[in-house]
Amino acid sequence: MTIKNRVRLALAFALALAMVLAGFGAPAQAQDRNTLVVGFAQEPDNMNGFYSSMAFAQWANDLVQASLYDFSDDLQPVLVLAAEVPTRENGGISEDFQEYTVKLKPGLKWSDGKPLTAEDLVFTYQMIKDPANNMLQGSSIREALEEAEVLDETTFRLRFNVPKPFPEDLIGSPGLSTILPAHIFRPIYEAEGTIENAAENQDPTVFSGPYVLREWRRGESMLFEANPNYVFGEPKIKRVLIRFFPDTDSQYAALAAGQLDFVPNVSEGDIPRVAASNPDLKIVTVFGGYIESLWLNLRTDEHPRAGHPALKDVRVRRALRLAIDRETITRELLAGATKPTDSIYAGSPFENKELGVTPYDPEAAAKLLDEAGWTLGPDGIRQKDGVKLEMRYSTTTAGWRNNIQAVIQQQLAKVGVSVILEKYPASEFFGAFANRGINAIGEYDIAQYANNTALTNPANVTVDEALNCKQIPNESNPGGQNFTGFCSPEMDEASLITKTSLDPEERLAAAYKIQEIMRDQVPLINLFPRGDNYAYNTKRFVGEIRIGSGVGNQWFDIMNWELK
Amino acid sequence: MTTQTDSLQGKPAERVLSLDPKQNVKGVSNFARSMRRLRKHRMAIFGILLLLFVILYVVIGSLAIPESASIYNDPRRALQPPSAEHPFGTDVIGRDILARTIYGGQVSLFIGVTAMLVQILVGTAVGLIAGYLGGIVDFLLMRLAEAMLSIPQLFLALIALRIFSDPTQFPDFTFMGRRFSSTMIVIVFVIGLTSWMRVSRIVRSVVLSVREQEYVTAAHSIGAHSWRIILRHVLPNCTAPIIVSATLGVASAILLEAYLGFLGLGVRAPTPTWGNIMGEANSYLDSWFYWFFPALFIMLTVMGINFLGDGLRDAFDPRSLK
Amino acid sequence: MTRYVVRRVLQSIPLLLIISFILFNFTNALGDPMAVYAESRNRPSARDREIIMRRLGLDRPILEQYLIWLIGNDWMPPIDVLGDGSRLEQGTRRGVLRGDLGISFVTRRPSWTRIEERLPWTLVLMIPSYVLTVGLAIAIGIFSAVRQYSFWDNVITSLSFFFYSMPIFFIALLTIYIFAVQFRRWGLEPIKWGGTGDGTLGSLLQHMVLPVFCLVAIQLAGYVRFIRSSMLEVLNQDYIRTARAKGLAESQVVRRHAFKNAALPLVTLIGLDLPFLLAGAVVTERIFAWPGMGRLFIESFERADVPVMMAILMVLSVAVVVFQLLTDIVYTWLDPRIRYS
Repeated sequence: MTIKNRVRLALAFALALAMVLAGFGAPAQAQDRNTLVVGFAQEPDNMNGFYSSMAFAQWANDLVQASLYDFSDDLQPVLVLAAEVPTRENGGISEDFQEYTVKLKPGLKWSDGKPLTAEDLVFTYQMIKDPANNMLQGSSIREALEEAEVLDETTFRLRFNVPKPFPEDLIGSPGLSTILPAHIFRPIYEAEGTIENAAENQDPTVFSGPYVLREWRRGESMLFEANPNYVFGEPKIKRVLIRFFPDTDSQYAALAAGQLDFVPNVSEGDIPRVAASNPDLKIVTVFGGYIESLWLNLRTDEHPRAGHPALKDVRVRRALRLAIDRETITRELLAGATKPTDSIYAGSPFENKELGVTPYDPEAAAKLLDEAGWTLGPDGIRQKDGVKLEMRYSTTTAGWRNNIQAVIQQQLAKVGVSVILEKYPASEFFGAFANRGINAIGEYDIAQYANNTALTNPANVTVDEALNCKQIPNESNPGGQNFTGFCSPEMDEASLITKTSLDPEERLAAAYKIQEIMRDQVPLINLFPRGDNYAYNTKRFVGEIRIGSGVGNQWFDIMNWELK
Repeated sequence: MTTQTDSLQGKPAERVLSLDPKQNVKGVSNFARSMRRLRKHRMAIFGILLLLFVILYVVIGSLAIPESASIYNDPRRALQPPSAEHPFGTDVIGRDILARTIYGGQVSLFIGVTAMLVQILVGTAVGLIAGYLGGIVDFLLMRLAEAMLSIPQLFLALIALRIFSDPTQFPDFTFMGRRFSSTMIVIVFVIGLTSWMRVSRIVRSVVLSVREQEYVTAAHSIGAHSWRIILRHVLPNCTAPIIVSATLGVASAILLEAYLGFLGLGVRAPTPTWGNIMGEANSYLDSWFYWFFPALFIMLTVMGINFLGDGLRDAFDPRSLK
Repeated sequence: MTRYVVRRVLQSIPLLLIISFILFNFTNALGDPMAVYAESRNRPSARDREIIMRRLGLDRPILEQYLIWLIGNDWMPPIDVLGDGSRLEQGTRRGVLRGDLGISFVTRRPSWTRIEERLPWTLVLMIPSYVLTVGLAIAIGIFSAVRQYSFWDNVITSLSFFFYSMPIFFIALLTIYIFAVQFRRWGLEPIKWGGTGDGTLGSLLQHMVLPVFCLVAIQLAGYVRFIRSSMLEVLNQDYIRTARAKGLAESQVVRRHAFKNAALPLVTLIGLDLPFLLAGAVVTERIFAWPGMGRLFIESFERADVPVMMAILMVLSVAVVVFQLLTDIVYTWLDPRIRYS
């Protein structure tokens, strides 16, 4: 046991003898204007972004890392280390889209003063490419990169094995958020053949971002100090202290008590109570590519399980969408932090705003259902040919989702649709096909959860994986991700265009087409976009602060934040 | 022996009664005598009254208010304090809390009683088998009991509940027109199967002490069946402590269910129980009505049971002085 | 005596093995730990997830997984992480019997560090509560027993029943509501609660007030009743009458004769309850946002973090077994009538 914990134990015994109802009015630590106090509900497992899947690790990393270019809160590119975003026009991307030539700004430095050059970048890409490094992130780069070479001190070239029209996945912050200092890692790599076990991963010493990690007290906190060698100059706030809490409850308690300035992870269900806990708090939702939706089981094969026969009829699906009052849900259950949507691209520059949002119209829903042959039975539930319109509506055990389930159940009951509510722990709900995961084997009719996809370009991972004809899971294809079983060759074609076409106009048109098809065919009913919800104490900050999307770097503007 | 602690390992402290079989040879009339003593026990009567109040609340309530009232939600009227329309206020999605405490109470009480029955049956069976067969069977069974007592009941219950609650294998069921989560039945067995140890020890010690008696050897020698011996000699001696244990078992089952529900890991929504209503309420402490009423009912029930249990214990105790 | 101890220790070993095997089976049936990544933005690709699963041995039969948990896999042939023999990695686990409690699936650091972070907080809460409980219970219990049927005895008995029947969350939420929420409304300085304070001792003490109060309130009732009935039983014995007849002062009778004998069952009770202090108080910790062992178990449970769950359960089981043995030894030492052959 550490000395610190031993002292705590001894303290416990001492307290036992001298326990008195004392301690009132102990003065809280005065907040100072040079330290930003942030609360995390989990401790990062690794300070090398390539070796972690934890959101909190990514947040901690982004504080000390600079990327080539980033995205602002309205998804506009922000140049950080790169001198320009490579395009075909400026020669940064070759005609065949397989070569990138990237220029860095001149005079870049690491936090230890050593120059940050193209060599560090090329070394990083080489490390990503080498499977011996066992990285958890960067798989798309690993699969596509052929070679990386240094052209001069501030220029390097990347060569890919297939055309790559979207640089942000490969050189922007969504794709590359960590740059490794070659002068630290190369000796380790040459000695051990891998950087996986480098001490630098857990106790880093060299950084490129706005802050440097000064001290990491395991189990307690991380202290960061401003980096004078940061490309945009030293940040205004001199220190950042990240405190770890065992869970969100204690985190919110500290936030409400004014001990924390900023919390990056407020979940939907907690928004109302966090907002109510302290009038100085402000909650900001930055849309980040999650759209909470009701995914419908359209599978036909019996093995595993086919969905309710009614769902095969597109009129029924449209009726369901008309019968759900999404506005009330977002307004009452989510404190209005988000608004209903019908687009899988909601919040991105590629959203087809013309399509609008289907209104809440239970009468139209009832009419459609009647038209489809599902007529009201004596018990108030619709039926057709002896089959009741009763479906299984499943989601995870998260409390806020269960509340939405209960509300939707009632709304659907009004039009004669009966749903049975089921809840599963996440490990079962999202489990793999081989582990009889609920979604994977089709044990549902309506499933509520959120997809996640970067929204920085029209190629949409959700459409590509979760709605693709070839991705329907079954015995011979257990890894398939298309749990709804939806298949539209037309949409698959449009999706292919968004991924491979070299003409941005064509890609946008294809993205619009995808949204049209989904609006029309309703493989899933979008509820509302979810984003990353941040809470901060307005009393502590000068003015408003800008927070980036989780797709890129949330701290993209932190050097401009100022405390009172 | 343990007392009530938060980790729920304990059941109320019990005295092991001195069980001299000779005293109970007269069986029935002893029982009647005990019942008479009970009636005079003031606290026991008070306990019975409390329980009657709760039971009547739940029964009459469900006759007066339909179940649909506990399901009907209106998010626009969420978290409203008590009013004429909603005497106990509304919950986070606008459901009436009074109705939910009535129907939740039915579930909580049902779980309490049936879990106790499971506990008694299993405990008695194990105690009889261990005491009668002795030897290696006894050894293993008692080791098993020890093992189970080493782990906090709450932890055991959580794990067992999760394993046996896959809706695809244990689907929700309908009973008398109402829909219940299968976790309700699972929780009954989980609680029962994690609390049998104490009862089995009591029964086992009775069996062991009876076995030594001469009249048992005598009965055997004239060819009396083991079953008869068990029925006529062992079980009557166990009745008193088992009844006490059973009564208190209901209380601890109700509490355990409440704690599990509070953690959100017990009976699955939307089936309400007093415990899971409180679990929802934990995020809305300002709305005192949300948690106050279910907690109050739990307390009244448990208090009534404890008073009654204490009274029963005193009534059955041949050494009682009053 | 030593033979008895040795025999008991030897008996506990198969017991612990059986417990651990049963628990291992149960905890592993809790679902796919990789699935908790499903909705995160940085989830590893399907192939990488497969590699992780093979490294952790999650694709092996349960019996093999248990053996690895017990005795490690660093002596076994290397793991084929890609499934096709192209990449072999040597296992690094040493197994529980060699002191390796495994690596948490969630934090990727040793399970023991998770426990180490939380255990002191649990003890900081539980030990003062327990000491207060026992101390107060002895005082009140003796007082009540000595004045049986008096007014105060009745008050104390009724109050014990009242608090004994009160579920912990009721009293916790009531106290929070009164001392924090309502105090603020009435313009008084509310008591701080929720979490462990900002690191200063004063703040810690203030945050402890409410949870300790609640824990003591419900535990006290049970202990008071126990001590009271224990004392009453002893006070009715013949040798007490003899002592009084001999002319001893009442306080001497109570202290020297009665309490000492009543203390024996109390020792057993304490011995059995002590190890469960380690388990923390799950509900109390949840309400007061206290970072203890109980919450750690719930968190690991929700994320199917098997190594940490097993680590907690085994620490508890071993503690229980050890304390039972200690209790027996102390009991023998205290009670000269008992001798173990």
